[in-house]
Amino acid sequence: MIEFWLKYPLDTWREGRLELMSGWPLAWLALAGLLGVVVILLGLVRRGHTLTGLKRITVGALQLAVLALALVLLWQPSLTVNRLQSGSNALAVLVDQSASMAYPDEDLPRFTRARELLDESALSDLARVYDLELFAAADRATAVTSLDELVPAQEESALLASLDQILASSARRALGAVVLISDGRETQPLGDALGRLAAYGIPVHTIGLGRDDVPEDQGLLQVQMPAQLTPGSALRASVMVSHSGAGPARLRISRGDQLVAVQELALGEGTRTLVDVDIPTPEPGHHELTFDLEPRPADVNRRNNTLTRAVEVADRVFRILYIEGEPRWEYKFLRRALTGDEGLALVSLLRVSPNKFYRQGIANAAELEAGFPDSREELFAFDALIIGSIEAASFSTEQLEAVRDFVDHRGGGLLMLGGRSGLGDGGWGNSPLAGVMPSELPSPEAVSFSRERWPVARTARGEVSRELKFSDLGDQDREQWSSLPALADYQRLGPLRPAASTLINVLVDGAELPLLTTQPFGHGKSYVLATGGTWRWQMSLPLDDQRHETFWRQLLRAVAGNARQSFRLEVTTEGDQLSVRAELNSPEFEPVTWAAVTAVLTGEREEEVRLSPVPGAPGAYAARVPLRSAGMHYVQAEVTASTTGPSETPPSALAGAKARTAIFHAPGRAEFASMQRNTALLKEIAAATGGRFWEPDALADLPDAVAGSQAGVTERQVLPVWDAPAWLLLLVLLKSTEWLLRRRWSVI
Amino acid sequence: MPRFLGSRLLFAAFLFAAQLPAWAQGVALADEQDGRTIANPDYGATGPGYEFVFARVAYTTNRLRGGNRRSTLWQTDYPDAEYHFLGGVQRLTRVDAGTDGHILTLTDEELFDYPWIYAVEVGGWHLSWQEAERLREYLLRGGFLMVDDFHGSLEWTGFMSSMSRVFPERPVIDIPPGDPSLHVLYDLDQRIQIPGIMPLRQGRTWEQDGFDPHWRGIYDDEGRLMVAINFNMDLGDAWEHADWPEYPEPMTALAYRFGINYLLYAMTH
Repeated sequence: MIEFWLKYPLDTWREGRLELMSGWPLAWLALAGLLGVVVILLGLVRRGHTLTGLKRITVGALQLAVLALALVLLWQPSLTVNRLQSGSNALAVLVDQSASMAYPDEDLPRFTRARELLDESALSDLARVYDLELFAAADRATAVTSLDELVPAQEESALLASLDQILASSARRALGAVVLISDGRETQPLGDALGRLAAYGIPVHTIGLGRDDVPEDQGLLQVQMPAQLTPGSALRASVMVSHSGAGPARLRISRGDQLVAVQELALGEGTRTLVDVDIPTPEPGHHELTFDLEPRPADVNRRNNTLTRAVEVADRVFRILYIEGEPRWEYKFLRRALTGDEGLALVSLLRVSPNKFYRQGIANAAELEAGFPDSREELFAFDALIIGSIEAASFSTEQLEAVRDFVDHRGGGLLMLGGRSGLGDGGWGNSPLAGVMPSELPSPEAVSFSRERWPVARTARGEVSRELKFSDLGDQDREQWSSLPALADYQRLGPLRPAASTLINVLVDGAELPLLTTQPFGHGKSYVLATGGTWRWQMSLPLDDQRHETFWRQLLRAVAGNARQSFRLEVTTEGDQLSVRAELNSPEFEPVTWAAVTAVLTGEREEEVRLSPVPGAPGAYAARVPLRSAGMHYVQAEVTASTTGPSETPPSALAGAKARTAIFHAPGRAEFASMQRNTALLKEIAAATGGRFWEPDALADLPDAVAGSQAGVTERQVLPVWDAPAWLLLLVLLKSTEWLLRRRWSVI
Repeated sequence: MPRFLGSRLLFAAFLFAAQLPAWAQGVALADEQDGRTIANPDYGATGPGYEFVFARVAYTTNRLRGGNRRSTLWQTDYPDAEYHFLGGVQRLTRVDAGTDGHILTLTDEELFDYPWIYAVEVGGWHLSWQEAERLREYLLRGGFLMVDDFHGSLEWTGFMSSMSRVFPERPVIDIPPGDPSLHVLYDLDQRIQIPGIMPLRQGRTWEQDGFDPHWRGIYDDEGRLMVAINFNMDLGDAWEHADWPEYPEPMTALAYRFGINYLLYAMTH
């Protein structure tokens, strides 16, 4: 419509320069205008007895507008634009050939629709003006002569890389523009690819196929779970389900052929639902866990209903140091709760008398012989620290600062227990550790510890905390918590710190007071358990009741589980690239920047790569390795040698240090992750390069938009606009308005 | 039926009925000892105000000692033994201990709130099947029992007749020298018979045919001592008579050390 009245598309008006092409001098235009103004003014004066005031001004303005428009049109205004020269430019058309293009939208596969567009739409007109180059996009762009022989079955669609490949070839010929026909399902990481495309200065027009909403398709978008855990620790996966609208669904998790968990899902309104799934922890070793979302009957794309993750149950043993200032039952029963748990090694230091510490769980006679560690190296050998009923003044300032660094830098866990010499009554609120703790503490002057028995109740946050579950069945879990015997004692805490949360409360005369609080601190985490009286859970419940043991085992795994290892290995996949990243720290957890680290990749083949230091990340080493097959890939990294002189030879604790992990690679998974059109990406590509996003059934303006490209070989064109219907319409409207007004005022 | 026989039966029935409340209670706690009132604090629902409370087990005697439900045998050395021993615990350790003991029976609900219990003169104790089952459950949950002051083969038999009801499958063994219970605070390498006051006055350290002292125990499946058995010795007397000049101080000191080691072991294992 706009193009009819203005003769040319708006883009052309925006790009063009307006000029008067009659060749008559502009002075004549001014003179004619002046003459016209005089005539109009004289006429108004002559009718002064009938036209007065505002009416005279209105009529005068309308007549002046008609005069101005008529005079300008007489001088023949025209648009001067640069347009792609016909016959001198190439136009690349890139058609997505990936498997998602076979998806049927309204019974017509997307790839078939692309064929139709090439044959019947405005695109076919372009072939007469430009040298049309046809490409198919998969993992790269491939030149093709026709789409007839092609089948959309490729499991990679590297759209941006394919565009980059085509645009890079523009140096060899005049490439005016690129047209991308795709559903936007990109399988490669974007990175800075858009910036690179924009730098070519060649517009990419994108035609989006498919639908923004594909209600019949539901699938697993993402499964997040720890890649490594220890025996006995809880395994929870966060599963993101893509769907349309509310309804039930069923998720099955299997390990090999063995079904290990089934979860009924209640999908909510909207298109994304995140659910947590608790999975029985497998035996030590590497395992493949397959998540399978049971498909609905109408769900055509079933490739996104399955997702596999690798998990390693490592033989890692968490070493926990427990220092206690007085013999008490909590100490005894905590130790007993961990008996037989091979994943937790409790080393304890108990002040039995004013002059004697009693050690238990030590690895050798020399361990902790001098008492609580004085050196960071000795302290940092532990993954978690429990401080019981002992005064802060029992520690030196250096020891307390080392404990703070233990949490902050080393990533260790800290658990402070209540007791008559613990927390506030032990002066911890005024110690260097005060800020580490999740709760502020009352001053020692106001005694906060009392031997009174109170029941406990989890908070809403505590109810969803994996470490505080006795059962996976919600009702059973709640019943088991509500039937716990009262604690033997309780110690009052101060206000919660901003980043902290309360997991368990005690019910004191109907009021809820915090019992178990936690907060992250640096790399680690801190907890306060404001009691020394959970032992009543063990003594008051039947022998076969395992709640006391379960509570402590799970809690201590949560406390220690965050602790970093001095040599840590992490692998991720980006498309068909495996990213290997290792972090190496000294026993004091200072980054080691001078080591040589190698990684051996096994799976499809064995390959050794040298990891390079990561700039700006001391102690980090990384490498990328191409992956060529699906399945499990194992990576083992090793510190081999120093890269510098003998003065910096790796200490014995680091030389030969090894770390091993695994990852499951599923190429093509991203291609099927969702069948929705990725309109956002297609618009981003067009916007970044100066092109436009087009709906496939509205391509009429595409040829003109392509012609407006400033890339390639262009020519200057003068487009007359004085004869546009809009001006004639405007003239008619102006005179009609004047006539109607004068008739109304009876001054014709 | 002769008339006099009917009167006797009636009288017997009356006596039986009069005794019923005491039997129903299981073990009647005598309220006096040596003319002093026995103070047994009622801690109620809030529990004791200390971490460690010396809990003494009241029991019925077996046939060796008359089979009397109202026997005060279990009160032997009470309350001075507790009083003196707890003073030592307060002075020599970091344990938050009270000054008074507490008395309970094995069927009391509060039994499980006292993870350390003490029984004396156990050669004469009699545990019903219900008591034995409760004690077994108590010990396996983590409770600790120290028994003391019984001597000779006859009393051993009396002790074991009840103890075998508690743990028919677990042996009683001599505590080996390297056991942590003998080293947790003090290194107790001396095996000296700690005598009661009565034989001491007669110039000997043994009673009946219990010539040799034995430190014995019953262990759980994890190798942890659950029952410490002081056989042929009398730690209770050594505690009780700590302030008697005639009782040898080295014996008292050793008795303190054994008691404290057992207590600390119970609080650490």
